Amino acid sequence: MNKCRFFVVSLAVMLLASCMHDTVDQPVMSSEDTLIARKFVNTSEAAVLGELVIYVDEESVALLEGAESATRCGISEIETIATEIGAVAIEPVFNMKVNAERKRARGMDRWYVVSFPSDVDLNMAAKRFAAVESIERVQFSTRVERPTEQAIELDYADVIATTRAANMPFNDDMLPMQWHYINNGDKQLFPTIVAGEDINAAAAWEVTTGRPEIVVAVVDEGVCHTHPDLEPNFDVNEAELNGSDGVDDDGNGYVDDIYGYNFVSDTGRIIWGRPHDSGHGTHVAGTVAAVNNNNLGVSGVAGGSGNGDGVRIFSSQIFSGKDELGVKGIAAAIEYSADRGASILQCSWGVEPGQIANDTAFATGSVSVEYEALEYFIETKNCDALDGGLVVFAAGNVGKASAGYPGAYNEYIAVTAFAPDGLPAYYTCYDRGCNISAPGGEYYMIAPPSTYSEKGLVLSTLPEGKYGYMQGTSMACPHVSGIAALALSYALDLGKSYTVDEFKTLLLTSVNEFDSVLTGFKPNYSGGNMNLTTYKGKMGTGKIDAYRVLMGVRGTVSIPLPVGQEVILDLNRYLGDGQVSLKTLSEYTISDETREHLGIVNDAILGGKLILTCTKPGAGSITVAFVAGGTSVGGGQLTGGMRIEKEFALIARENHVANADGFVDNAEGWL
Amino acid sequence: MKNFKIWSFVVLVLIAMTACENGGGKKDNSKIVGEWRIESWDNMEPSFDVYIAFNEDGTFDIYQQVYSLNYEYYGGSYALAGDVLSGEYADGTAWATTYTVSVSEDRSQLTMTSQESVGVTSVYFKESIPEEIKEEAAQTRAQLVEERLF
Repeated sequence: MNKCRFFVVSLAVMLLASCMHDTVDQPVMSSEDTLIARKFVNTSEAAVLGELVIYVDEESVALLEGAESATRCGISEIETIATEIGAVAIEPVFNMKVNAERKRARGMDRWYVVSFPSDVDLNMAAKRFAAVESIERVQFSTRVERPTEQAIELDYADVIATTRAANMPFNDDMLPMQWHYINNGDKQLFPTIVAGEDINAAAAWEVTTGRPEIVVAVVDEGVCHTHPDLEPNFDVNEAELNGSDGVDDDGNGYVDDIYGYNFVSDTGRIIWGRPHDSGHGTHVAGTVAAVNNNNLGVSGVAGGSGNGDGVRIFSSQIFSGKDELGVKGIAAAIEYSADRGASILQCSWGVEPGQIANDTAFATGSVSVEYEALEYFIETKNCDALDGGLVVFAAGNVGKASAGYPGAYNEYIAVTAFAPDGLPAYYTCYDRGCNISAPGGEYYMIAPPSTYSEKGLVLSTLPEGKYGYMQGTSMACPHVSGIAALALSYALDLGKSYTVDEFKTLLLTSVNEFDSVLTGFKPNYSGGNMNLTTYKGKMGTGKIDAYRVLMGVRGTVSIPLPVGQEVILDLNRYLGDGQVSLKTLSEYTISDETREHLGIVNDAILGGKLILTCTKPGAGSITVAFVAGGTSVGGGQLTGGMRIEKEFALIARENHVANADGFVDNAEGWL
Repeated sequence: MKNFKIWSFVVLVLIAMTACENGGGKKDNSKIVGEWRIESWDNMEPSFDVYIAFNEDGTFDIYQQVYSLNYEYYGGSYALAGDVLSGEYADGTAWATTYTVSVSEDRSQLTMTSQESVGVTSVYFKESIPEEIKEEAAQTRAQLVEERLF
């Protein structure tokens, strides 16, 4: 393997928005300047030329909705500026043809994008617009950096060699090479591979393989919907497929959006083969939903059983060749994903860690247009099993002790990456804002140092019916999205439903511990050694386990308690594999009914442990708050973990006897 | 004299029968024989799941998902004396408690109240134990054995 293929993984680190509340070149400011400066959502760094996003007051919406052009929009101050800078259009960011009432209630109808010639001084134009009384926010349309890394195509000879020794649940011939699903410790793939370092897909697939009612939006490069291993699981807009070309047949505001929508070209034509396209979107999509058991290629986490029953995907295309998309397009793509029916937003992109300072900068005060879109996605219910939408982001690939935003925000899941050896991948971001870990793959260096093996990377679909390898938290992220899709499928099977918060708790607590292997050093493929202790407690709650997630959908573990004996319990023992990395907060609730049933006379959480004394046999529950990822909940001036609440069932029996750790050893048979 | 003997015998038999029923000596398992699934425990809808099969031969099978995410199997023997149900697991461990039981007239519902200091009532309804749960519990047992071998 040529060293030129060994890259610092930057593809998933795509610049989105730099949502700082900084002023724009204002060393000394008058009170008026200060007022104007407060309207800026971000800076002009890496901004797309020739456009600005504005947020107007409620009174201006009616005028702008009927505007013929920027220069004849009914708001004289805007008309004046538009004329001076030669503005050609003022258009709404969001699509009010779908769910208009709810969007108006959220103020989404107040976001507009103003277009003008690219030679206009952007900062000057922004200041002019910010000075308009009816404009409350101004956001530069920061460029989204396109993926630059190329995938490595699979050598089919490797497949044949590996398959001979395999015994797999599906007949997809490349599944034995997908160690990230089923890791049997095959050293042909990776010399330091460790069996079991996977997502435990084999056990999960015995429970469910997905359901077509669950839809995942792949917000990325265009996904190759003609790929034979993806096409059967594509969400197809039948009204547009059977309608007329160039016509918005279903009236959703998007023309010909059959397999999704291309927000870069603003057309319904999803594309993936332009020069400089990387295959990133198609690769990510395959991990979520490549068709299983079709005697072809790879498997997908929620790709079904081969009977047309996989979860569905569509493409919300935000990258294309060398073209760059601003935040207006990103926000519209997220909104479209919600309106089109997705329950899971698969986002293997984000800004480089540090570009957005903290949660306040991202989501408080003058919030950005993409934050508005993400919140809209989260509150949009598209399946019976979830009362809203789940947002999953890659943590980032620059090895920093923080996830990049938006994933770092404390309401979104940010995914770190581990390698086939079960250790942190050399590139993964970790610590602040990181919530959970999944396989992201890693090159293995074969002596001499200029030679590398790609089989430790994640294997998935590539455009034009091909298959290949990529690595990154970008590849870890769709494992979590796919498992979430499996969980919602199983919840539908069982007639269960979740709030978004409950569902995030389920995912983040259904993990296997990470920390026990984090000692000593590991070669860092970009040079030197990784000190593994640096990552201890900082890779999220642990490694996601698909089977644990599904079992968590089916039921919960009850905590056995004695009667008349005080217990001091580490509740982490009852989460995941019992050794997960969750910090217990001191906040908890016990209902009056539980207190009565169990005769609770003493309760507290001290030092992260639950202290409880029951005086009566019976049943009840307790809800406890945790930090999922790190030791502090994010918010305000902090990038941190996610606050989750977990309900535990309690069963007190008179024959139960607790040991010094508060654990009842003799709670076995029910009677 | 002959009549006295006959009447004495009849009285003794009646006394013996009464004694058996009141004192718990007579074992009549038939009214609880069948497969049951938990419906409520401690007057609450349980967040866990329990199936119990009381077999005609005096053995029982429990398939429970209570203290683990998987269904687990426990077996043993039981005895119903009057309305008092007792039993022990296959390893000889007695149940946590004995139970006072009653069965609804249509035999669709089984109510068991523990004989603890504060009786906890559990209600079960008739439902066949799904084969997949039996298989899962068997696998769980196999895994446990495997884990212990390590």
